[in-house]
Amino acid sequence: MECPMCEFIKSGNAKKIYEDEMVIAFLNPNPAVIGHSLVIPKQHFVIIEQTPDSLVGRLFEVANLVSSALFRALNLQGTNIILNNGVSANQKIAHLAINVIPRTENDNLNFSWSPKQLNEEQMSTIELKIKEHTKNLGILEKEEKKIFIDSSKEKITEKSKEIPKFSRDLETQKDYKVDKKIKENKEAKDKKNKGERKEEEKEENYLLKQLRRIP
Amino acid sequence: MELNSEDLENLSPEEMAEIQKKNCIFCQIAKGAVNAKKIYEDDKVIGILDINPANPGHTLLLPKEHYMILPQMPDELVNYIFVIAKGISNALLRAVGATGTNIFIANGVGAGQRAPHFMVHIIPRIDNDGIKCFEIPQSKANIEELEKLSYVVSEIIRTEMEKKKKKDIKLIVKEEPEILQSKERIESNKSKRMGKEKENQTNNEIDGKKKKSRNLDKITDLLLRKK
Repeated sequence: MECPMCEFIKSGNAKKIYEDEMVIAFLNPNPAVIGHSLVIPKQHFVIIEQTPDSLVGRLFEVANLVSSALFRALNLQGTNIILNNGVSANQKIAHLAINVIPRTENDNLNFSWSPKQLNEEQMSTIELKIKEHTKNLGILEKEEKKIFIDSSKEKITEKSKEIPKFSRDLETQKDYKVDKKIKENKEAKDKKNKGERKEEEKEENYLLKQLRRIP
Repeated sequence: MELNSEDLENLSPEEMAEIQKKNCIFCQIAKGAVNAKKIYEDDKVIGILDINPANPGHTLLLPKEHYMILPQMPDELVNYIFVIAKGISNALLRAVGATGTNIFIANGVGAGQRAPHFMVHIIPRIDNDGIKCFEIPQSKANIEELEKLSYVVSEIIRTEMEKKKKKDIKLIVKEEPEILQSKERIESNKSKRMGKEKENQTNNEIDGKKKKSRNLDKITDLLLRKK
């Protein structure tokens, strides 16, 4: 079954406001309010966890651009940028889409939630649990830079050993100019992480499965 | 330093921004002067647990530098903060057993922004958790209205991109709608079809930057006035 979002773009009926090689933005034909735009990757990704880092950054850069343009085109009090990631988070279509929603007074929209009360102990437990999973974050960004700067091959090999498991994203990143040597190293490293990765993939597949169940 | 409302009225926006920066609770947290439950930190951004969470694990990701709204931030930082947001979203799925996440940003008081420091909300979600606010309502749009607006907005974006001169991004330019093919026809069509209001918008495009900063000023101003 073809993705309805991919088909909609191909159909040419989308009212595009931005398009480059990877990203496309258009006015939502079923908007919350007029001007409600969607920023989506051209390639079919369902959730943000699947999407390569460089594309995630690019998507939100465009969302920012669209948000500013809407400020100027319409008389606004603000904008909301919302990504609903997964069926549990109210994602309706199985294609990653960032909503940019113009806000004005009395627009009858309300995106505020009622806070839950947690005690100090519960908060501390959650803090520790999350910290455990954010340890390796941000390292990739730094490593990427180092690889590009260092031209000598020896250094590249050395640095690439430190590439964390997040490097698996690079595989899906078509435009990423990794030279062969790094790739080989990465593959070796990946093999080590295979067990760990399988677990992760299972979880992701679960999320995707849920989305596929949407009629 | 205590200020009464009269003093506040007389301050210039720059002075006001300076005072606000000093009093910004999130800048204090970023500096480490105020305690918070930090779940992630590097040299540019910091992730903390929201003390009024929508769900357990609700994280606020903020730049350490003081920016009030997203459009003020440099592209590199925007890019970076969302790559980290992706990582945190990923971490939340594992750490609190979430089956989805909402990534939420409010730009401006009118959009529900509560503090004058830009932040990304990352909210872990599970089925039937009772959170209804992210169900985005739908309506049927007028196709003609969409066509016109898409032209205006894409023109603004194109000029903005040209200013930035991003060479690594190949912009695919939208074809002009048939109704707006020649310049003369643009003018006549605009006054005929779009009415005066839309004509104002085209003028706005021309003194674009001015209008933009004015509009942004309005939004930041509202935030500034919020105590």
